[in-house]
This record gives sequence, structure tokens and C-alpha cells, in this order.
Amino acid sequence: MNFTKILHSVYGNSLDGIVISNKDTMITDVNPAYEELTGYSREELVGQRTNVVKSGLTPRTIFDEMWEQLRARGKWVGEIINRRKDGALWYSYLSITQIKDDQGEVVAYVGIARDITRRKEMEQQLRQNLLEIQAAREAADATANRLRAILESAGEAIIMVDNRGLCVTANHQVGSVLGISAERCIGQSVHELHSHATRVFRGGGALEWTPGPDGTPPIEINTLTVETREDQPRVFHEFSAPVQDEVGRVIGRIYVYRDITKETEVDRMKSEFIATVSHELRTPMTSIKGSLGLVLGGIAGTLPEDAKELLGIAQNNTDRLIRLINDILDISRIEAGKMEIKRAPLSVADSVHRAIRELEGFATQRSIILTADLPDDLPRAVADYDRLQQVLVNLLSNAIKFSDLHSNVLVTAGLDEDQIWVRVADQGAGIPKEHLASIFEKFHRVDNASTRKTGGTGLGLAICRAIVEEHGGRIWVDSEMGKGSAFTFTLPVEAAPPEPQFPMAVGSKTVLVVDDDPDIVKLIMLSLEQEGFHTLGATSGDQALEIARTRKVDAITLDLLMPGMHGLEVARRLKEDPLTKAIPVVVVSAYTDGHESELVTLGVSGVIGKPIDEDRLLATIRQVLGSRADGEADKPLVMVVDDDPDVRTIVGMMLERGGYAVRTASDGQEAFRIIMENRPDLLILDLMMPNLDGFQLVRLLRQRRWTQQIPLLVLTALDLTEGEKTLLRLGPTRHLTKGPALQEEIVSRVRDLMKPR
Amino acid sequence: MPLRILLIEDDPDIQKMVRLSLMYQGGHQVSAASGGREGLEKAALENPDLILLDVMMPEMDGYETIKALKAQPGTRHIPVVFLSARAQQAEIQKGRELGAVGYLVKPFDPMTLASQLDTILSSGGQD
Repeated sequence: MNFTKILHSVYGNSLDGIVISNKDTMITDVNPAYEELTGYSREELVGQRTNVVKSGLTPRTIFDEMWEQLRARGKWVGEIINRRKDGALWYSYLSITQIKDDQGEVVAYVGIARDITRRKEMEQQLRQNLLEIQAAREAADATANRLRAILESAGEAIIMVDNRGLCVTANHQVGSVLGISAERCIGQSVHELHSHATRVFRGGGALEWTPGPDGTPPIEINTLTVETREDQPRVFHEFSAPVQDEVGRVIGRIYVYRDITKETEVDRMKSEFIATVSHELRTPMTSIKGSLGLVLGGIAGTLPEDAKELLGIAQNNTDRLIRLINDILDISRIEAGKMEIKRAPLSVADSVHRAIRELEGFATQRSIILTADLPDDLPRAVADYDRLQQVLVNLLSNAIKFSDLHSNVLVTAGLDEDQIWVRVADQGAGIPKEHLASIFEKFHRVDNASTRKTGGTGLGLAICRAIVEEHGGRIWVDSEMGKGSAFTFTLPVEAAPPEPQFPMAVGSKTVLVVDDDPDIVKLIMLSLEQEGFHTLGATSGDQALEIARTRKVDAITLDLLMPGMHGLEVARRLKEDPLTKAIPVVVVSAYTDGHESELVTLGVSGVIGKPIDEDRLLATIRQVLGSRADGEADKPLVMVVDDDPDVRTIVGMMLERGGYAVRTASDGQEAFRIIMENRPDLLILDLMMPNLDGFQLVRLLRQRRWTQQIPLLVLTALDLTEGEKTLLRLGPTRHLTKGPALQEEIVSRVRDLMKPR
Repeated sequence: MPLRILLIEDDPDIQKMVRLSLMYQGGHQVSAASGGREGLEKAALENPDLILLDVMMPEMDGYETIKALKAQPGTRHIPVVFLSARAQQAEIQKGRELGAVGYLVKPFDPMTLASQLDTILSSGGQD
């Protein structure tokens, strides 16, 4: 093996640069790699000093060390910074070895250099990154510490659980509220904490964690008041809510406990005070009223006139004082937020009549006539019975007091959208404009001189206002000097049972039933509703005209013999008014003789005699209302509800071929909306559907009179239990199990169901 | 029909008032006790036809007194009517739950007290 040749190859092909110099560091040879590293050619380098490549940036100490090492050990390894021919800097990992001759004299230096610039850069970057990470961590720590400090300095106890219900954060206040240290809380399941809470607090409910369907964490915001089981119980307000990150994802739930023992105590003291004062004031009043009453009642024998008069004055003022005490207590209870209202549906008319009866005596004393003019169909209001009486009695009593002798006080009422209004009007002196706004203030007096006689407490209207406003209503006064005043207040109407928010029917027909006998009105309305019509009622011509002009009415049934305005006059007016002349009118009356010709001339669409033949009435109405809006006259409308599009298509086609008009829907919710707009003549219903399933749809339809009787064909894949079959019933109903011959069966069943009853 | 009535009430003026009123308006005989304890003794001793009971009394209040009356076999059957200045729903309800047959509010009208008691007793305790 030619070792020289090999070495020669090594020297020439080495990836590291090799530079050879003489003992004076003058370069005698370089290898190709060194040329590459330095950018100089061999010719340029030979003859130069080795420091031709120096950058000037390597610290002196390195060179000192280098020479020392070379002298001491004959070799050195280190890093220096060099500069290429083009001026670029590069890091060199350099080894220098001294070559000595046999005599031990230095004859040459061999340097081997490797470019480690890249590595150096990466090291630098790493150091930089580490510093940044360090800084970031410190900042994060500082933030975390600050937040922790905030958590710990809050007065409230705060617990957070993650989406699995495990406690991840608790501040130290938790210890004093729940009796478990914060450290022990962390990691516990919220259910364990909940059962612990039931031992600490009276009643359950604290730290509840009820996952939603599919096991999702609870997302409602809840508040709860709990009391501890200690001898001196403390009261806490628990607030719980979902915790969301910056993009709105729920990452857990938080429970905050605030000590409200003191506030609860204050509330208790307020109630106590009110109750105590009431007793303290009333006790001596009892003796005073008692003594006066007995003496005036004759217990000490007959009284001289002067004594009677004076004692009478004392008695009146005693009563006045008692009323004042009651009013003050009432109003302080109201202002402390302690007015208890028991809301219930009630008849405003009944309340008004009762109040009038109560004040009849007082009214008669002043020769005042109390009248009530209330509509018969006034819906019920939702209010506290006693409080409503209080308001009515107060207003009526005021009206009587401030009316001139021999005048009238009138009570009227009505419905305005979702509020019932009641108005008490007198014919007294009236209230000056400046006082209208402040008349409902406490102790306000219009005119001290004259009202002192009337013995009011000055709180009556303030109390009325508080009561009315507590019910969600308004109270106001209209007045004209010399003419009289009218006080009006509103109360909420009894709400219909809560329904899902579906749009009300728009296209269905509405019939206005007019008859002075409210029973007949109700009867006809009921009949029509079961047929699927919407209905309105009126008991007088005026009412009928008002309704026909302002609401959407498709047909009118009209009684002729009515007090006030005769039915004929009503018909005339309807036909004269452009707003109402197109509405078909069906006269429903016991007597029409003599008027037939005029009725014909007027263009009345039909006449039905009384006693009413229901079928005839319905047939006439149907006929009078003619074809459906969409022009498919006389074709019965079948609604097909099935989430399978094939079923809808095929059944639809078969029915259309059978001569029926068809509408389809793919789920219960859509079906309900469509049915509300346009009542079908028959409903075909699949049970298993998304959104609103068949059972729920049928339930909704059963709740409404005008869809209750729709013939129904139920399609089921499974056999139904008897109980289920009972629930799935509207008008005439059939159940059909889905099978191979389904489509053909359907049409024949539909024909069956549609046959006239 | 004149009754023997026991009034348990700490205010001497009101005692006088009630006695005079019931005597004058019904001929009823009224004996009085100034507190719950005295009332219990007198009730056991005299076996009155009716007990009129005040609520706010020191030491033993009306509620404690009625509980004790209903616990004692000798007095359990005597109808009790509360006569009180405290007239809130909660209090009236409480009285009823404790077994009172009626609840009258002070100040009362001395000329109608007797007939109010009549009404309560004859309606079997429904007011």
C-alpha cells in the first residue's frame, strides 16, 4: 500500500481546510478545502503569513493561549474568527500542531480548520430563544401570581371546575365557607363537593353540576341563597356560571359564594321594624277607639249634645289616624319591597261591582250615582284580589268625595292589546294642570283648605300607584277644570297558556259573530272554531262595525233583532263603508219577514233562521267563503308529513291522482307552521321525525280548537300501544303500519276518512 | 247567648275596653289574665266558653300560649280567637295553623266586637 499516495489523497480531498506553514508561520501550502474556506487561491496564500485570514475580532487572549499551548504541548485546538477574501466573517474550529524535526526544532505548523459558522449561529439563536422563553415565563408567572393574588384577596369564595366536573381552582376563602381547604378541593369531583355542601348548608342545591344532554357541561347561569347549619347561621349567595375562553368555548364552571348574612339581617330588621311599629302604634289606638266607641255607643248613658259632638270629633279623628297608620305602614312595606302580591286570574267586572257595593252607602250620602259600564266579554285580568279592591275603593271614594252633590261617577273598562284598563270618572271640580303630574306623590294635596274636610290621608293615590305598578300596569289622570276628572289604570290580561313561538295563522278565515245574546255568540263561535275558522265576537252593532273596520274579517254572521242598532242598520253601514263592504254577511235571525227584499238588495250572502241548524250554518259559511286562496277550489287539502322524501313524493303523487290537493312537510315543526297558515282537510303523519315528532305535533294540534278535529292518518313503523293510540287522535283517526302495500292503502284510507260524517 | 270569656292581654286599658264592650254588647262575662302563664291557669280553672288571646305579650307570647292551651287536656277544647295589632298574612296563617278559630285585628270597633265573635263562633271557625 502506498501510504504516501493515501495521505496525498487525504490532504487533497479533506473536507476540512489544511494549511501548512514554516516555523515563522509563513504559508507553504494549503489544500483545496482551505482555498474554499478562505476564498483565497493557493497562489495567493503561499508566501503569506497564516494570519492573512485574521478578522481582528478574535480576542487576544485566544492567541496568547494558543501560543502558550503550542509551546507547552505542541498543539492547540480552539475557535477563532476569520475573514474571507470577500470580507465575510466565518467561525473556524481550528487545530494547530507543531511539527518538530529529529532535533526537536520546530520546522512547520499544520493547521486544520472547519467552518462552524452555522453551528455558532444556531447556538446564538438558541441562547436568544432561551432568554425569550425565560422572559415569557417570568411574565406569565407574574400574571399568574397577580391573578392568583386577586383570587385570594377577593372576599368571595371561588371554585372552578373543568368540563369533566373536577375542581381545578379554589381560593382559600373556600375553607371558611365549605370547611374544606382549597388544596383539598382541587382534584375533587364536583359531585363530592356537592355532597359535602349538603352537609354544610341547609337544603340541597349548592354546587350542583347537571350535565346537559350528551353529557355537555351545564351552561346556565344560576343563583341560589343558602344558609349554613351553624348555631349562628351564615347566609351565602351562590352564583354559578360557565367559564368561557376568548373564543367562547366553555372550559368549565365557576361557583362564587358571597356572604350576605349582614344584608339578610338588615332585611329581617326592616321587616321586624315595620311589624313592630304597626303593633306599637295600634295598641294605644285600640284603647282610644274603644273608649270613644263605648261612650258614644251609650254605655255611660245618654250624652249631652255638646259631649256627643266633641266625642264624635275625637272619634272621627281617631279613625283618620288609624287609616293614616295603615297607609304609612302599607307604603313603607311597598317601598321596602315587601308588598306581597298574590296574582291570580280574576274578573274585573266582579271586582268593580263589589267596590261599588261597598261604597254605595257613602255615595248615597252625597246623592251621587255610581254606575259601571263594562263590556261583557272583558277577559280576566291577573291581579291580587284584595289589592285591586283597595285601588278601586280608593279611586271610587276619591271620586265620590270630590264630586259635586247629585252628580255621576262612572266606571268603565276595556281591553287594549295585552292590558285591561279601568277608568273612574267623576263630574267634580277637576284638578289644576300643575297638579296632574304630582297628584300620585305621597302626601300631595291639591288644595289644603278644601281637602282637609275630606279626611284623606294624602297617601291613597301613592299607594294605588305602587300597587298598579307592582302589577306591571300604569295609572294616570285626565282632568279638566270645571268638568271633572278621570283616573285610569291598567292591569295585565290573563295570558293564554304558553305556546312555542310559531307564527299565528295568516291565511285562515276569520268569522265575526254578531248577536246581542252573548250565549248565542259563544255557541256559534264554538261551532265555527271546531270547523277550523278563527272567530271574533260582538254583542252590539257598534262593536261589530268597530271590529269589522279594524280587524281582518272574512265573513260576518249577523243577528237582526238587537237593541241599540238593528242588524239591518249594521248591514247597511257595512255595505256603505269601503273598508267592510266586501265582507260577506250571513244573517242569522229569528225574524226576517219584511226585510228579505232589503237584505237581498244590500247584498247579504245568506240567511239562516233561528233556532240555528248548525250544519246549514257551516255549509253556508263555507259556501260564502268560497274557494281557497291558492285557487284550488273544492279539492280537499291533504297534508303529508314524513321525513322520508320518497314517501312524500310517492304518497303525494298518488293523492293528487286521486283528486286531492297535497302539501308536504319533512318534520313536525315545518308541518305545524304550515298547518297554522292553512288548515288541511286531512293530515297524514309519520311519527318518527326530527325536531317536533308526531306525538308532539298532535299534542299541539289538540290544544287548539280549530285543529282539534282534523281527520288524521298515522303512519307508524312500530305497533303502537293502546295508550299511544289514544294520544294520537284528532278528528276521525286511523293508524297504518308501514309496509309494502303502503301507498295503495293510504289513498283508500284517506277516502274513508274524508267521507262526510 | 251570654258567654264566659277569658281575655289574655297584657295592656290593662285594652282589658278594660274589651270587658266593657263585651258586657255592653252581649252581656258576656269577661275575666282577664295579664300574661300567658296566668292565662293557662285561669283557663284550666274557669273553663271559659271562649278565649280571646293577644299575640304580643312579654315572657310568653300568644303563639306559645295557644300551643300550651292546646297541649293541656283541660283546655284543649276551648275555642281561641286571636286579637292582635299584627295583621300580616303570615301571622294570620300561623294563628290558624296553631288552632285558632278566628283572628281579629286591633284596633277593633267596640260596638261590633261581640257580633264579630258571634260570627266566628257560629261559622264554626271559618272567617
